[in-house]
Amino acid sequence: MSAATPASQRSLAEHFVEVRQQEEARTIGMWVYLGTEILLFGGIFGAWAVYRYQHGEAWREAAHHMDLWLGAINTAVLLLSSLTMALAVHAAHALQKKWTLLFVLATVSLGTLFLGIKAYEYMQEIHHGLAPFAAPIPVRQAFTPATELYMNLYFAATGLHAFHLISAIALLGGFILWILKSGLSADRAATLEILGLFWHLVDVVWIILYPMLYLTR
Amino acid sequence: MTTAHPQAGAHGPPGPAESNYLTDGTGLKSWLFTTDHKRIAILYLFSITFFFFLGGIAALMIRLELLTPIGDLMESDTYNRMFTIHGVIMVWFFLVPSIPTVMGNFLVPLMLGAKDLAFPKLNLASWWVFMIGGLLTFFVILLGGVDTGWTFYTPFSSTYANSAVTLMATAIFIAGFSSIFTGINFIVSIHKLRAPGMTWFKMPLFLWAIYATSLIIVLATPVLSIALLLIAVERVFGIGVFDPALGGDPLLYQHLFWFYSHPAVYIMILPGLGVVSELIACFSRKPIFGYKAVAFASMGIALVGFLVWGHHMFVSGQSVYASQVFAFLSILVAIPSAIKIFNWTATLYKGSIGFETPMLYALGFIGLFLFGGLTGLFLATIAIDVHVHDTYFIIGHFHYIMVGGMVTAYMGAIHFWWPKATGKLYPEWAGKISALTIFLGFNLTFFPHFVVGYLGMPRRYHEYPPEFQIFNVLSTAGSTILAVGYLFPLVYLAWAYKFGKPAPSNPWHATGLEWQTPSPPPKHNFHEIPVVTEKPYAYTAPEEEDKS
Amino acid sequence: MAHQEFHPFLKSYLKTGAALFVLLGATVGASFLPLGGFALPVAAAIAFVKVYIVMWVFMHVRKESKLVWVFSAGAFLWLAVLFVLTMADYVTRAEIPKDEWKTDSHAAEKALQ
Repeated sequence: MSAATPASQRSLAEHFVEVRQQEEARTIGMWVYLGTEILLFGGIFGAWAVYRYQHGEAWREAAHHMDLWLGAINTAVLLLSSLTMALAVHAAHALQKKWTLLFVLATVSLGTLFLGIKAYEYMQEIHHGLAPFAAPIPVRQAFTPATELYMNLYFAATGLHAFHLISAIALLGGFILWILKSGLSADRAATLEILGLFWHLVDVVWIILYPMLYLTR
Repeated sequence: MTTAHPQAGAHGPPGPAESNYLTDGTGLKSWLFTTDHKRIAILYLFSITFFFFLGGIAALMIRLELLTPIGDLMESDTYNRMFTIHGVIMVWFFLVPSIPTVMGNFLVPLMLGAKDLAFPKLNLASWWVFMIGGLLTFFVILLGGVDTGWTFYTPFSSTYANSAVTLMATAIFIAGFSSIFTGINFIVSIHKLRAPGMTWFKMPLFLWAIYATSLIIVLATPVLSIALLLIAVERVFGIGVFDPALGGDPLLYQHLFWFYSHPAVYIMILPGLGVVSELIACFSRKPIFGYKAVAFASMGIALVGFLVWGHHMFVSGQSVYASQVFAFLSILVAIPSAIKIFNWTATLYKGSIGFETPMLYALGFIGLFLFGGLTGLFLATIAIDVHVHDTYFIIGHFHYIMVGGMVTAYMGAIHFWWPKATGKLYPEWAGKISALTIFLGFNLTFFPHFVVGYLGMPRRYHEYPPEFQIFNVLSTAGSTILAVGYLFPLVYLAWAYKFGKPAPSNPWHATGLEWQTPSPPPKHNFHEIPVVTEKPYAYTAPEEEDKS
Repeated sequence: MAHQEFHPFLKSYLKTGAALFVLLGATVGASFLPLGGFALPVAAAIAFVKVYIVMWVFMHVRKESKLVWVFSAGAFLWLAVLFVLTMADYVTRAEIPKDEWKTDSHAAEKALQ
């Protein structure tokens, strides 16, 4: 992506020889980090696979407790945010400050919307006694243990995902303030690209979580 | 970050010696917030030395309790906490960081011919994160520790244990980030910061080992993180994912835990293998035998090491068919490990061997690693594992790899690169005495474990049948010798730093870029970026003839 | 010049975004079909395609060096190792021939007497 802005506009840390080397180092470094994130969620995906195998029918039943449409809307929101994120990176590389800010702001708003819908969904689930940790014992007894296990994994998985989304929103929010305060530059466009990778990864995780938790009925 | 830099230039003595990384910037701040990889290595050196002796105290308490068959020194619960402290501290706060963060941080840029690691600030962050995790662990110890063992097996850790499991798990979770930061830094540096002419097959084998280690770190650590996170979530919020009452499977935790913790054994030993390749070539005055085979053996161990974790679960209720697959794959690890041992011995063959201190450690390493490795083959065989599972046999096995292998290699590395890092020579006689003391003390401590374990003494009990006492007395006696062997270098290395003779830039007449820069190296490592034309380990015997 | 460069990308990104929405519709739709045992593989396949598109286009894997591709694929490969070997335990666990083992041990006891 270094092609989008001329190398001459970029600053070079003293332990690198050329901008291209520095650029590739950062990109690879971020991708290695994203690999660790994939494996972090991989533990949850693996747990799901094991329990889905062990509790086949019971877990298919349990998946019916999920609100499929809220999940679908949320998936759409995150997919849209990925699109605006990609557009923001491109606008940044073209040094178009206005468009960059607009698209990053759109991305952050969509991320926040996702969290809002998620919070509403959590509240609905708690209201219906579907959150084992928050439900009184008689309500809990209405569900099979396997359902409870399902809901536990659901809360662990979506909770961890929401935490990542909050971090991503905070990072992009910081970026907006940074640009508003002291302008857009080729260096900052490169930073946005790295932040964008993280945003997309949070989206990728949700793309896997959505069918896993909502659709395998 | 080194704010003291300009002042040091102004007030520093205009001595004849040029400034080096030790003198360039003074004051505590210039150390705690440095981004110089060499200074960060020194920060890590002090930190992990502290944790090593902390874990060592716990080890000595364990040995002291086991001096007699009855539980006279501590209660069983105290004993549980003691071996948990020993395991957690030694694994996550000494062994995993040891060679990568001290020798790796110091050497990777020097060996690559680079000015620093790819991400110097991330490197500093890694140390801070490590210290936060480490101090939290220390705090948990002050709170009374944890009684689960270093493995945190569910459902004990998630449901029953009444100790500070959540805090301890959090501390290890935090330390995991430190590992990951270091791993990312090494991977990217080795890919992107090699000096002109430094092709992959001209890299020292230490770098190959560090590269393989870093791959394991970034691929395995997150899985431990999620396993510990799920335990914490269960304890704090009651969101049970491993809870058997809900149909959850505690063995799933073991799968996730060992998906990290078996490869973590290779995180601990691979850098040691890399160090020994450097030492053997240097003190045999010969190029390493079969360079590519040794390099690929590191990568092979990293790869196969990910496929064998189930051998920790042979008696846990894991499917017997899966156990057979894991047993077969575990035995495969012997192939790349044996390649290394054969190639080292072939390098020694007809070499002009010098028995300087680092070489004593390297030779000791080969023997002890061989012992640990071969007993590992016993344990990979299901039938024998069922017999000796959770006995002192396995304690003996992994201490031969971790202490006999890894700590010995670490000591060898410290002694080999000490003149480079400090610019001072240590007294050779003292080094030799400590190397021999450690070798003897180690074997006396851990060899009896094989015997008493095979006879059936289980691990993790503070009492045992009286007929096992003789082996335990031998072991405890050995551990005191071992303690002296580890304490002595503290004394003479500190002395050498203050009063030692100045070291030349290449005291061992070794090859490798790190020896082509002054001792200690200047802040940016090289005055000019070196261009590499030679193969690695271009040692020649004639140079040796000139010397004698 | 910046404007001229920007617009073609806008188009290609919008197309990619549209493809993702179509796939989202497909996976939701498929969950209502009586696919039986195929429901899971279909959902997984669609998710995989979506992940691939996001990584390939939005995360620029198509434009970066091979190394980026290797590291991004490597993480998923290791995930596969975790899945395959863990599941190797679970799918064969029920097969442990408990009764056979009991019979055999009885046979051994009898043989000893």
